[in-house]
Amino acid sequence: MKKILIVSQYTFNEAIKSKLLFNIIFLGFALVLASYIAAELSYGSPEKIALDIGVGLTSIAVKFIAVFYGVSIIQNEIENRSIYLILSRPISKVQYFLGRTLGMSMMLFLNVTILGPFSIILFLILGGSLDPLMFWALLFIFIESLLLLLIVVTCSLFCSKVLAILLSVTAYVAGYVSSSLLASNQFAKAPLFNTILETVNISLPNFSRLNLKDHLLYVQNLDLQVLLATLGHSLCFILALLLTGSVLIHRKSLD
Amino acid sequence: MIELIDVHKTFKKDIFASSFQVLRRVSFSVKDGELCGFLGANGAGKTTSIKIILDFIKADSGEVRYSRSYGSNYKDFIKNLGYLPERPYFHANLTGQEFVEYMAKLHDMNRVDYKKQIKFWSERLGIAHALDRKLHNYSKGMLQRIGFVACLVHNPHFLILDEPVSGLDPLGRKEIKDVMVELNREGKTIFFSSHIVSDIEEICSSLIVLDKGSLIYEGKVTELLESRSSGQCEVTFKAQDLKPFDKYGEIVRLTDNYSKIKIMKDSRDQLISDLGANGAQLIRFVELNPTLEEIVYQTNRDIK
Repeated sequence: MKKILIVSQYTFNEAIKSKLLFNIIFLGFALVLASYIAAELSYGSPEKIALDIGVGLTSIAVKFIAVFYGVSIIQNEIENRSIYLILSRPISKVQYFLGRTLGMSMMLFLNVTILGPFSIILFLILGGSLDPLMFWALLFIFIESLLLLLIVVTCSLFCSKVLAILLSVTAYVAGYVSSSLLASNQFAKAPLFNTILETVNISLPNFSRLNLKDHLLYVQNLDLQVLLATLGHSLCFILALLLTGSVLIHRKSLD
Repeated sequence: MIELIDVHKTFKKDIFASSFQVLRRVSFSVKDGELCGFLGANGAGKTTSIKIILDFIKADSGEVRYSRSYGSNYKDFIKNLGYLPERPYFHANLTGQEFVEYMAKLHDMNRVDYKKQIKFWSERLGIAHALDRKLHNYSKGMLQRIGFVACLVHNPHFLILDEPVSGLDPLGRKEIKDVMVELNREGKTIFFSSHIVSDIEEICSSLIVLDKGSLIYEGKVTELLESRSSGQCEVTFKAQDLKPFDKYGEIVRLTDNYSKIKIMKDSRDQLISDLGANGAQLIRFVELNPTLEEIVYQTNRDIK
């Protein structure tokens, strides 16, 4: 465990020292500005418009970082041969993989904790009131980005970076829409397609369950049990992806 | 000691391409306490052999054995290993100090020890002044030096250095080679890969040569040089009368009564005494042996 923490600490430091954090802070201010302008130009509940845009942009920004930064965290180290310097020390490939992903997840968590409060503070300034669901929404944005990070890192272990990004985006879209398509019963008459859809629904995380924006804006109420079930569902996929990634890196030949 | 036994490795460019052999049943060993040069042209299979030793890639067949003095398996061996890859690329946003500390922490070193070791080796390798700079500001030579510091920080017993002096200026090359000799004298085993023969001839006691994936020599450097010795010497001397020396062979007249002659080594003592007896002056005496470079790269097919 100590080795995993050391690798994660330096992965996190490395990300902090890159321009990534500056970009996030800049994005945070841009997000407040965009939300404020949209709220001012809208009719009705400006605070809800601000929250809608703020949470939406936070979610997109963090997912973008997870995919486009995450795809290189191991692949670049292999290409640059810096992985050899680390793996020639008493640390296994699996510990290294877990350390790199933990470090990157810490970075994603930091991003959510920087960007999220920008939207909430603006929402409160414009007259909104604090709701515990906001924290769940931010937690789920983090989990969603973590799942995407694990998918893209795992894919990058067996294919090129471009293909890994494409596969991850496809997995996200498929995981997002499969349950809604199944629920709509549109393909009941096409059993083959329905079976494919069911398989996709079971084998990919249900990303639509992690999107709490509509509940946050309109319903403002969600059972704790539903939230915990979604959390449990995501944690199962996180563990499965960590396991898959660990097996892949263990078997990977570092040519 | 590390021992490679019958190691065979093939690569494929892609799934449709036919495979090509990188190592062909290669067997060699690096014994404890040796400063062993690993020589071969680019593409000879040196880096692939090192990657197999370090378990980064698996051999198709064959075996790698590690000395019992390092433990019985790879995990024990790696604790005592210092490795510097060819053209290393480090984490650009870390400073030199952070990078070496990172490497030291992976060896479970305590803070006091690694601080002391970093100070010692960075001063010894002339990189102490740049420890607080980010690695993306380092020159190629500086990166090589900081890589060497990282390689030595945990005081390893076995060093594997892949082209450690490439990219260094002549002074830097000399410094690194001096450190390697010094470490070897302290008892550390060094396995040093290079395609620059003169570097290996200068410091290595033993040699392993690969050519197109096959082992073509394993043994002492001196033994190889002696085995290829021509047995001839070139003697330069100063004499007015050259007649007494005609019997030794063809004499080449130089300027100002200087002359030179090639003789067999066993005639050396006789010639020296003849020179003295005839009032001639011995200027220079050189054994005509081929250099390691000539042996390895000009006649590498039959150096066994």
